[in-house]
Amino acid sequence: MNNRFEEAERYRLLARHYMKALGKIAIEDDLDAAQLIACEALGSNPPPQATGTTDLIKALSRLTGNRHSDGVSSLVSPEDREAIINGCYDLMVASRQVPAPHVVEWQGMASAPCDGTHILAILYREASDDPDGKRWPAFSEMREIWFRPYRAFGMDLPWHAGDPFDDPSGAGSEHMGEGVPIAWQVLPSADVRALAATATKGSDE
Amino acid sequence: MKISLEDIQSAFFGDDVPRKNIALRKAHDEIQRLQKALKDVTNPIEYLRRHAEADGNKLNGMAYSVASDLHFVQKIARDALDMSPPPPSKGKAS
Repeated sequence: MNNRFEEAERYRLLARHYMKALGKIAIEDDLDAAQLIACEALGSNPPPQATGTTDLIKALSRLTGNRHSDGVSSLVSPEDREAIINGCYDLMVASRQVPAPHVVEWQGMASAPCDGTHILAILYREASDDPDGKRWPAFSEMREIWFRPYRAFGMDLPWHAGDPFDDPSGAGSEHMGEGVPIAWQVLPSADVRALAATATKGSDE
Repeated sequence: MKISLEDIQSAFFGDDVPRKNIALRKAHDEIQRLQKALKDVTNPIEYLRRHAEADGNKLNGMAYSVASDLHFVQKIARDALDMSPPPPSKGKAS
């Protein structure tokens, strides 16, 4: 039951993501800007890294200042606030470094292979409260996943994001699947394996 | 068919398994519909071509001008959200 609930939550978040973009397009005054919004929502044409980082820092800064409806208590715990501020500082420093030569080509999930091929994906999870009253902060991560039909528990959904450590039956695991995959790119397998080989070699010496 | 995302969520508060499966299927269809609308915004010509072919027609030279029209793209988004068009601007002379 829990898996299906999480699946529904993933759908809800993704639908909300798309609806927000469509809402912006409906009132946008410029055709190019409207199409850019659609591209970004589909994950096919992300803005330049520096701009994205600045926007992310601004958004995170705003997040730390958000309050509950009582206007007093903060939505973000002191620990999270500290982590966000430190993260923003690190991001700011990193964004001033010379940009990496590798250009990341993120694509919308619609074009992701659904045959179990391992891909690199951005998974996004909105802040939420679980039934026990525990608060889960918004979080996004980039990780290797597979993306294939979900047939566990009698379901027949065309896709399901899991990770390479999941049960091969496709049942999914407890630790995975909370984030909505919103963009993907080909896993640079050759590079990863070369790096892994180098790291292993280094640690052996 | 447009559905309420809250309806999908509410299906998970009970023990009705078939209802949950139906809700998930509907949610998936809703995602596909919204995603298609976003793709149509990025490629309005393809949207026009699809509709023309569905009616047994082909695109003509007007298609490019229609596809390059902001209002047309806005309409795709509004239709997907089931939104009414904005009221006509009062400032413009007719």
